[in-house]
Amino acid sequence: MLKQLKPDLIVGDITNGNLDCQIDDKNISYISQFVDNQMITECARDEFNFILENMGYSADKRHMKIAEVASYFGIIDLLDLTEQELSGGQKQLINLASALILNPDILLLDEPTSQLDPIAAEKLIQMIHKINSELNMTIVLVEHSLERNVFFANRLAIVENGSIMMDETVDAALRKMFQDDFYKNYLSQIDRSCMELKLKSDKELPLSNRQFSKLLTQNKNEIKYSNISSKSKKTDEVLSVKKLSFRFDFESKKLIDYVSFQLNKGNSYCIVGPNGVGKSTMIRVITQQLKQQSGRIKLDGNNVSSKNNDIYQKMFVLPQNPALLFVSDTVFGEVEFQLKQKNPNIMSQQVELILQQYDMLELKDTSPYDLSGGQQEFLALIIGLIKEPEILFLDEPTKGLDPNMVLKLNELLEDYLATGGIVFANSHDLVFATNFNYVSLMFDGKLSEFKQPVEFFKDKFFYTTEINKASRDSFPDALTWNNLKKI
Amino acid sequence: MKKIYSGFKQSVNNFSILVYLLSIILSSLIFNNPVIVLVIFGALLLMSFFAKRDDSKSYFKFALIIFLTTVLFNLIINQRGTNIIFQIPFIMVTRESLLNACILAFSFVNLLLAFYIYDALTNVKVIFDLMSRGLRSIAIVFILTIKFIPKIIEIFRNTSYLYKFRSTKKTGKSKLSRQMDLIEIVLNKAVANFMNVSDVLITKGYNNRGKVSKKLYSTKSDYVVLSVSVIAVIFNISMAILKIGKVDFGSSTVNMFVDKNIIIISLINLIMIVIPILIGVSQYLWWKLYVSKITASNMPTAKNFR
Repeated sequence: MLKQLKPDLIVGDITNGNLDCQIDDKNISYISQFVDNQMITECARDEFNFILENMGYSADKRHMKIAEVASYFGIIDLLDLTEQELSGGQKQLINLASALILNPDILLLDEPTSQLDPIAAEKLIQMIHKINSELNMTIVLVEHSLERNVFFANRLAIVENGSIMMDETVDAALRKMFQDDFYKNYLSQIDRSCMELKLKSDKELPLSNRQFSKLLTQNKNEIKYSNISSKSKKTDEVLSVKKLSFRFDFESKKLIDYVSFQLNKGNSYCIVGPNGVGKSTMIRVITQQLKQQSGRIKLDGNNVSSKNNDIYQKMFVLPQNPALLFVSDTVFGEVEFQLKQKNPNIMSQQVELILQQYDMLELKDTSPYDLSGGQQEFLALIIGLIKEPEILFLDEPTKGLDPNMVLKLNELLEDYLATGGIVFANSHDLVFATNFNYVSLMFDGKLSEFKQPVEFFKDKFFYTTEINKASRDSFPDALTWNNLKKI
Repeated sequence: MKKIYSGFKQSVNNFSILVYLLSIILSSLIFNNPVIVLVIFGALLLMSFFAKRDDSKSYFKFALIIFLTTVLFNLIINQRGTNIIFQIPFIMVTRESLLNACILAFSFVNLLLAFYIYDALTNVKVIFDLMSRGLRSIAIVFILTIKFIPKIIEIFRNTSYLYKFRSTKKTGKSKLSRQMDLIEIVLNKAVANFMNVSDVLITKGYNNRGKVSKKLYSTKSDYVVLSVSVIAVIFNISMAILKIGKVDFGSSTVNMFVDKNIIIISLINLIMIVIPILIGVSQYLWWKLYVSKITASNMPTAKNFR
C-alpha cells in the first residue's frame, strides 16, 4: 500500500480507483525496512552525489546540498565510511538523509526502526520528528509497534485485509483500539496500562512516561504489583561455556571477551544490548559457524566442534534472516522436509495437520520467500520446533513480528520449555526479554551475570522497559503493563 | 605505509588513478621475458602491500595457490629442454621447462596482483560514472555484480552452515549431488535478495539519470601520474610491436637473458608501477619538512609582520 503512493514503485496493475496526488513522483521519497543493501555506491558521499547527479544537479549545487544535509543530520564524520564500517543506526540515518537530499514533499517510511536497537531507534524517530516539525514535511510511516512512533503522529490508520478499517486522530484511534481484543495488543505499554487500570486523566493519549508516573502516584492505593514472571527451574546443566574469546582480526578488539556461563534444561536466556556488540557473533561461535580463539564449549559433557555432528542434531539456529533456513519452494515443502528428517515415510496428511496446528494451512502452497517477514520468522520457528532440539538459538526473533505474533511466539516457546528444551535468544525488544527466565546485557565483549528479569531491569536507568522507567518510584518491580493490576 | 598511502590518495584524482590502473594491467599482460616479469612482480607485490585491503590474506593465499597450480601443471604438460634438473617416473624437470612454468605462473600472479591493486585503489562510482555515459544497462549489471557477488558468497556460506541444522540424516546422496541441491537453494535465495535492488535504483532516481558533467581538478601529482602512465603505455605497446621483451614461450630454447633493452623496459615499468609510492613519499616529506613547520605554529608568520 505504501508503495502505491509512489507510482514508480508500483508492481502490478491498479484494478480499481485512481491515485489523486498533486505532488510529482520525484518529490516523494521512500525508505525501505531493509537497512542493508540500500547503498548503491561505496560511501555516503558517493551515494549523495549519485542521487543528485541522477537529478541533474550541477557540481556546485551538489556540493552545497551534501554540505547542508550532512550538517543537518550530523553525519559529516560518516560521509567517507563504507557500508561495512557503519552501524545499523548510522546506515538508516544515511538512508534517511539520502531520501531527503532532494527536498521531497512526502516521505514514505516502511518500518524504519525494525532492525535497530532501542536507543538507535529512538534517535531515528527523533530525527523523523525533527524533519516533520521543522521542515513541515508530510510523513507516512508504516509500523507494527506503536511504542515510540505514536507520540509524533497526527493521524493513525489501521490497514486490514487490504482496506483501511480505521483512520482517526491519535487519541481517538488509541481509545478505539483498546476496545478491540486484537488491536489492544498493539498499544504502547504505557497507554495499555493506563486504560487497563482505568486511570482518569484529562490528558490526550499517548501519555508520556512523566504523565503516567504522576497518575500512578495519584492512584497508588488502588493499584497493586502482580508478579507474572515464570519461575526458573533448578535443573541439569546442558551447555557450558568457559572463558570464551573471539575477535575477527588480529588487530580488532575482542567481540567476545573471556565469557563464561551455563545453560540449564527447561530455562530460557536472553541477551540484550546495542547493535554491533557481538550478540549474534556469540550464537555463531557457540554453534561453531565461527571458531573461538580460546575457551571451551561443552554440550552434554562433550566438547563442541564443527566436526562433531552431534551439535547439528542437538541444536537449532534461527538466524536474523529466517529465509536463509529455507530449502523448498513451498511452505508445505519446508515442513515436509523437516518432518522427513525424523520419519522418511511421512504422509502429506500429517504435514497438513502440523500446518493446521500452527494456523499456516492456508499458506501451504505459497513460496516461503513470498511470506511477510513475520510469517517467515514464524515458519522458521515451526521448523525448529518440529526438530525438537535440546537448545534453540534465536537471533532477534521478534524482528518484523506484529504484537499478536509475538504473543503467539511466547506461547510456542513456553510449550517448548515445558518439554525440557532450552531457549537462548538475543533481542532488542526489552518487553519480549521480560518473558525469559534470565536476562543479561552484552557490551564490549563482556556479558553481565544472567539475572531474573525483575532483578536485571530494576537497577537499569536507561536500558529498561517504558513501564519500569515510569513506575520505578511507586512500583519498582513492574516491567510490563500486566504487572500492574487494579485492587 | 598508511601515511604514504594517504598522501598519495589525497593528492591525485580518480581519473589519474584509473589511467594508472589501466597502465599496470597492460604492463602485466604484455611482456613475458623472465627478467621483466620478475621485476614487474616485485613492483606489483610492493604496491599490493602499499594498497592493502581487509581481505588481503585470502587474496594472497589464492594467488599462491594459482602460482603453484600453474607451475605444477606446466611441468607436467611441457617437459621440453635439455638441461635436466631432476627426473621422476613420468616427469622430467628441465631448466627450460621450469623457466617456462615460472614465466606463466608469474604472469598469472602479476595479472592477479594488478587486479588486486585495481580493486584496492578504484572506486565503484568512478567506473559506474564512466559506463553510465554510454552503456546504461551494462552499468547496472556492473553495479549488481560488484555489489552482489560478495552477497551471494555470504548467502552460500550461511546457507551451507544452517543447512546442517536442518538436514540431520544421511540421505545417501553423493557430495556433488548435495552440493548441487545447496547451489539451487542459494540461487533461490539470491534471486529473492536481488528483488529490492530495482526499488533502490528507482528511489535514487537512476531512471532519470542524464549526462553527468564533471569537473576534474588536477594537481601536480596528477600530471606526474598521468604522464608516467601514458608514456609507459605508449612505450610498452611500441616494445610489444617491435617484439622486444618477449621470449619464445613454451619452446625448448627459452632462456633468461638480460640486455640493455630489457633493463630499460624493466626500469620504466618499475617506476610506473611504484609511482603512487613515490608520490606518497614526496607528499609526506613535503608535509614533514615544510608544511608542518609553518602550520605547527603561527609564530614565524607573525614574526614576519613585526
